[in-house]
Amino acid sequence: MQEMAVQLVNLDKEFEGQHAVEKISLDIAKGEFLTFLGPSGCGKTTTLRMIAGFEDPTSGWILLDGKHVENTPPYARNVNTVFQSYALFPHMSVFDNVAFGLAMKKVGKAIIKQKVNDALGLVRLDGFSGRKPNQLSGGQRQRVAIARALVNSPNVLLLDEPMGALDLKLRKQMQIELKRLQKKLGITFIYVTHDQEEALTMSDRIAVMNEGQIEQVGTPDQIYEHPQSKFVAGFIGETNLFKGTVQSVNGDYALLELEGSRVPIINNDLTLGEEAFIAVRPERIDFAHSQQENSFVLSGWFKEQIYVGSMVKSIITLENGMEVIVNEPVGRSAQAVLQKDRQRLLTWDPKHAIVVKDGRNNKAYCSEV
Amino acid sequence: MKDNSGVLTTVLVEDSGKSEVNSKKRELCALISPVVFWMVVFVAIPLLLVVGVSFLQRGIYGGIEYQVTINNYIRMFNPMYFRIIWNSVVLSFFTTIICLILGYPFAYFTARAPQKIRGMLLMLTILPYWTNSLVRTYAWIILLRTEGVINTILLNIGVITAPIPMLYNESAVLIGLVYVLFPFMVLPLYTSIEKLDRSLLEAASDLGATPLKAFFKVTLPLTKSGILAGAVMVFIPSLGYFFIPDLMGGSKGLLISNLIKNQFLTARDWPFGSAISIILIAITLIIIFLYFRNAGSKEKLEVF
Repeated sequence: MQEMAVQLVNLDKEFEGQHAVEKISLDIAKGEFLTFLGPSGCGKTTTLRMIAGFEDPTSGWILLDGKHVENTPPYARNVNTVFQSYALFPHMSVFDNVAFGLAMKKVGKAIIKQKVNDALGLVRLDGFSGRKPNQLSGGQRQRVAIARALVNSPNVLLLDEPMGALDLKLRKQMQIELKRLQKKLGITFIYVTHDQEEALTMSDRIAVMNEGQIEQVGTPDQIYEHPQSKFVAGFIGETNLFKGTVQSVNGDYALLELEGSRVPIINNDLTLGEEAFIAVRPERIDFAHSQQENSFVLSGWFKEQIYVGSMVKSIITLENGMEVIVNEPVGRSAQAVLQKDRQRLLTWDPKHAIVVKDGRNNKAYCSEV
Repeated sequence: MKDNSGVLTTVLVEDSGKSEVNSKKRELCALISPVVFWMVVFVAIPLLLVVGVSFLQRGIYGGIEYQVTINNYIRMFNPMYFRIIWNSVVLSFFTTIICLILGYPFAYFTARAPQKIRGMLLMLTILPYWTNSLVRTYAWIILLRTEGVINTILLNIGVITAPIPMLYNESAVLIGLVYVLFPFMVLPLYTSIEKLDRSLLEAASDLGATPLKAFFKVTLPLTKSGILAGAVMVFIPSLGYFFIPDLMGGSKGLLISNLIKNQFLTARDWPFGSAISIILIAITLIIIFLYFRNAGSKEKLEVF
């Protein structure tokens, strides 16, 4: 059996009667890079703060290395945090900031010096030890924050949206560096972000959170390719969500009545007459030339085309007013300028239509479509 | 013709630029003139008068004789006056320390109290100061004197058999000064503690610091500017509050503020009183200078 770094059991947190985190359970393995992903207010930061010890759970348990820590104050837990605002001590030099944790443990001066220099080397900040935090750029401050946490060799490193204040290019660079660092050190990372791309890039596993609950846990490709709820489908990447009625069920396949067409889908515990949602990624939808060549087509009208560099995005409006997004690689798209309101036929390979459950949050999802 | 028009436009542009600068200057003058007026009338002129008088002689019947002299300053080179100045500084020092020790926890809990209560606590700190400080000093006298409230209660419940002399000594002056100057310590402390980013304390805790260690390593150094500001705000006025030693200290410990007051009102020696005032101002300036040097950059200053 795999050793667990962190175990959350029925963890619950209420703020003045409001549920911030609602009975979540999750095991995080040693050396794993796990990301809590979700919109703001979904409870991901609260969960992280409970693991760090800054918030007491209302009920439930937190186990670090198999030991209960609900009543352990933050300074006695072997976890360290990289704060969103970095929270570097402004009155201390970079060296003293990084040395803080070791000094608290009363480590010898020579060892502190060695370890701090190693940690600064790890985040490529050699030669910066004499500076004050206000003399550093945002990216450098973040590295100091990471070094300050890592130097204590924690069992678990908690990162609370550490990239929030960085510009896009720096963020991409830091994502790769952080992932590399995590692999090299083998420390368990628990990462909190609302940026789905960041989560997909770095994580071994992603826990998608919504309204205080975990909607789905899985590897990045499981989450992306097989979202289990409407919320996950809508939150991770762009998607088109169709609602239909199950017309017939036949072993592995089912037919969904959708916009007057019968669309074949993979049977996923469906019953006849049931309403079902399917999610289809924009890049999985093709334009069809005629009804005959394909098992089904949906008819709509071309509204506009958006060029986004690597691909072209077309927006097609169906009869019921729903807007469908279709992505095509630049080379493959019809270069001819399309007339507005021209009829287009849409189709897709049935295996790319994911049947998703309603989840608990229709509202948030619908507003995103 | 074309060239000429070109020159003309540049001239015009330059001209409009100049008038813009002028109007800005005028605006600036209009803005600062009330301040300048205030400073000249209420600070500079009185101060120059005091400086001037300090170099004149006392008339036989208490007036001023217009004869320049430095005798008033030479007179101060007397161990008696040195002791008075020293006593004043020591008393002010202890006033400041006690205000700090009492004020820091008070400011800390006020700044960390829930938002709703915070405003009320601050209000309660300031509220007594809407009453005349002389009246409040008399209230202390009622509490502390030999037949006062405290002694009566202690006698009645049998804790003591004879009243404790609590008034008309140095500790009474200390109590009075601490009481009057307390909010001047609390307000700058409150400001700096409230500004302190709480995530820094979380970071300290996260890195293994117990609350006590976090306080000494993070909170205290980061509120140093508030401590300094509060200290200056208490120390300087405490040197000059003559009515508290007058009312609560009796005639025993003479302080620099009483000395000045006595020279003006009792001894009617205005020139010597002015000279001592100048010395007091010099001491104050030295402290402010030290404060600015210690506080470093302007952004760290809490007051002034």
